[in-house]
Amino acid sequence: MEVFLLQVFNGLSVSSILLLTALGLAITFGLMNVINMAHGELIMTGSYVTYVVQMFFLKHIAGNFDLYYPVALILSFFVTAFIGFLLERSLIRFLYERPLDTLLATWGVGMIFQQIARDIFGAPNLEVRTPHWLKGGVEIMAGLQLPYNRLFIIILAIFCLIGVYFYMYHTASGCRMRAVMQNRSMASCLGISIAKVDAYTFALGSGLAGIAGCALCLLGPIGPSLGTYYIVDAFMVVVLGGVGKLVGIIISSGVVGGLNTAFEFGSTATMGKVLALIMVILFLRWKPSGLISLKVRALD
Amino acid sequence: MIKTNRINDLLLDRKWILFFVLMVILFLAPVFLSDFRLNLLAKYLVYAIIALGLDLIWGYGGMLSLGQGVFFGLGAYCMAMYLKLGSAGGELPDFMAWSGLTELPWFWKPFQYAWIAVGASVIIPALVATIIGFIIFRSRVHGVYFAILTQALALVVTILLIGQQPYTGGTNGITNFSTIFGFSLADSSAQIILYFITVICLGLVYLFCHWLTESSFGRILIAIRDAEDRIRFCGYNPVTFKVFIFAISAGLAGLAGALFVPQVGIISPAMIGIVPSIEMVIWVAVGGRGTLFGAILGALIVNGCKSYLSESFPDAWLYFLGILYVAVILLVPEGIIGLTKKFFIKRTASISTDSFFLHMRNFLGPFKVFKR
Amino acid sequence: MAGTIIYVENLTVNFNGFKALDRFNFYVDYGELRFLIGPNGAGKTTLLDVLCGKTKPTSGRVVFKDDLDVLNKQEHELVFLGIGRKFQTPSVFTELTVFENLELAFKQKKGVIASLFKQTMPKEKEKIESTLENVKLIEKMDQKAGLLSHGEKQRLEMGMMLVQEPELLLLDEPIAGLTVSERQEMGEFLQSIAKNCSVLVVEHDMGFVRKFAQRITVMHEGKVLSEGDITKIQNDPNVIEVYLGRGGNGSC
Repeated sequence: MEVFLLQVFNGLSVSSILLLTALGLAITFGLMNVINMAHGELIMTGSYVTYVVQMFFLKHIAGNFDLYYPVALILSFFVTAFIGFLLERSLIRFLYERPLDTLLATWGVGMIFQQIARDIFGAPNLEVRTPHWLKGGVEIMAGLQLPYNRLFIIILAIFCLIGVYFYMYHTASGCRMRAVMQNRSMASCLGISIAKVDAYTFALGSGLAGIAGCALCLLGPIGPSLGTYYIVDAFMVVVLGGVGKLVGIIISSGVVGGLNTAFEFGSTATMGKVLALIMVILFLRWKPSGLISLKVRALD
Repeated sequence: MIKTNRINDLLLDRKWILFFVLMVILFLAPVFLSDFRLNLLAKYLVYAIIALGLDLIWGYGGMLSLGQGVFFGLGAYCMAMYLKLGSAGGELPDFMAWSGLTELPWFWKPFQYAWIAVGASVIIPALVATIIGFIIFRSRVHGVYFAILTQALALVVTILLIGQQPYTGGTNGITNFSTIFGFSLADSSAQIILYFITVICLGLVYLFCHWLTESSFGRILIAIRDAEDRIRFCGYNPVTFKVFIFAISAGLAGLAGALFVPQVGIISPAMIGIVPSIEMVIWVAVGGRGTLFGAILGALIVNGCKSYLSESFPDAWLYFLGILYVAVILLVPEGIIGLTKKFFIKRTASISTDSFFLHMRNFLGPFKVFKR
Repeated sequence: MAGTIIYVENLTVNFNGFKALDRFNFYVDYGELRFLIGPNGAGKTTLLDVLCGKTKPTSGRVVFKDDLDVLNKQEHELVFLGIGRKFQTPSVFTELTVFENLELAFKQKKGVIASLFKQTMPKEKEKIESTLENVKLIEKMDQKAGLLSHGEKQRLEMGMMLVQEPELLLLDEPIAGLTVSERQEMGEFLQSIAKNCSVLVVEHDMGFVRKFAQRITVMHEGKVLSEGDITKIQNDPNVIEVYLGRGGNGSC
């Protein structure tokens, strides 16, 4: 029983991490059709922002050290969002008609980011200290302890999801965003500034990557190539979920996370990942437009 | 029509002269280059073969494969298994012994024979690509998805190779070869012969790709790239065409892998994963996608720069590569060949359209961008 | 030539609850030039999509030439069997020359191996050149198709249809964006090809329909509203109610 519950919790935990890393991608890829290969590096940037904030608190405000984490969470969102904004204005906006080219160009950007991180912080991994209030865990029954940091990430993922949902479907600017992503020229005719919406949407997606990066600091050491471990999985989650649907990505991160954990339990960690990826590829053979897809009338 | 045919003949002559001159230069290279440089050049030529294959599927077919490294790796591992068994001299390869294996795994056994290893290094990647191609293309997965799925494939294969250490050598890969077909690999004459084989292979692959792209098949491929749905309504099934070209490009990458291993002396998961796979794409992008000469040129130039920069400024190399990706995609998506074309268009803008196209063909004849 | 070339029976196409076609019945005879009209959203284009294999219906059956089940064939197989389709916007292969465009469409073996070893036969060349004469593009045969004007692209696409030698030709608004004289030409052209094959045209321009139609089918909300020649259609109270009446002469 404990084993089973633990596995379920692990599955939830892996799913929540996938959800966090893929949520930003669901916006930039799913809505904007930009294949942002630098998404992993934006996650990495978020982690380093957290690291810097932590160092700042250690040096200057050591008494209130535990407060560093909320500050880092907010800062990492805004810093990466700003980087995303710059990236969109300087590069991505020229490539909207050529999705495959965004893939290659952003890959180059990712390489530059990694090297910058290596030059500033050094190639070895760095440790970010978990704040005290996230250490330890809650003991549900004998031999089954749920660590606070993992619980926190689950809650954070849900929180981000609700935030994105609320923004997209219940605010005026979210509505403008959806309008632009669905029909650019029509939206422009209605007086929406496409350029602005594009930039802010991409910034939002990037900022969510920053939050993911901040969350990953709780799980282990961070390094310049942190993002590369997550990028393929994140893309698979978005593709599996069905592009352009928030519900899809919730289900698919759950499915991929669950499969990962289940296979891992039966074999090894790496085999778990391999089997989960293969399952996803095979599933797409059967249903190419993902879990949640709309059948629409062709316009031409 | 007669007139155009004569012009075509003329162009053909010029192209073949260029091809011939290049082959002669490559054949004479051992006279001028040190063993070390010759070995590097051989490596670049191997990469040029991969680039040609990738250009077929991406430049002509419009499908961006981010898994070319996998096919290159499959070919390379097939050859490496043969070389390793030859070098172990009938005993168990060293890394297997370290991992506690006592007997040669069954799938290693056929690779004691050179001809099986050479054949398998082309056929296995092509076969794998055929299977994957059928899975992916049958469900009408298009552009972006194909790229992401092939990238996932690259990840899967590297994880498997690293995870199955006793059978694959794990992270270290397979290395320490001493002989090939009974000759010592340390011998410089063996290396020169391998170099010549590489040059001949590149020449043959170029001719093969040229024949493919000039045939009716090549035109259908371009048509699939530009309007896949439309080609269905001309009565063609794009799936078989896409699978076929995917298999060909994988086979070429496998051939390159087989040539790579004896000359470089090692193959490891780090050389075939996501990063090298996407690096292969930039070779083609730099040279000019959709042109065979562009692919070769790109592979040679980018790798030449890589060797030079990583020798002189090891840290700057990644910045350079990163900037190269961004700059090429943003500023010159047509690549070097396309750039020369643009340059020429500016110069002849005043000439009337008909003769303008004639001129453009004349100028680009050797690079073969246009047909007929 | 008498007899029915295509039978459409009880056809229903459901897009997430929206019935584009609703138990639709429809027949076209050999050698007929049939026009399909109806308000937007009536299901005209959807019907063409089903006939050429692009859309798979929810239920119903479509039989081509007495015994071929259209519904379990893919688009390219249907083209090979003799159903040609032209879309609303002209789509030609822009990177290929006019001649190469026709060469691709030419009725021939269309497998991978056949394409690798294909030689252009004199007979094929003759046929393509005569088709080019027919669509008045012979002068431009070596030009890239991307450089053609809109009207020329339409004509090229008609040429591509012709060398396919279809027995049933499906056309979606072939005169959209053409000049007055080009429309006249297209109309005569359609009448001339209807001698050898059945042609099904979706059209909005009532002037054009009036001039060239033999038989007309009016569609409304996924069903047949009326069918017959132009005088019958124009005097049908139902048609006037939902279609002709609203926009004056319905030329929208």
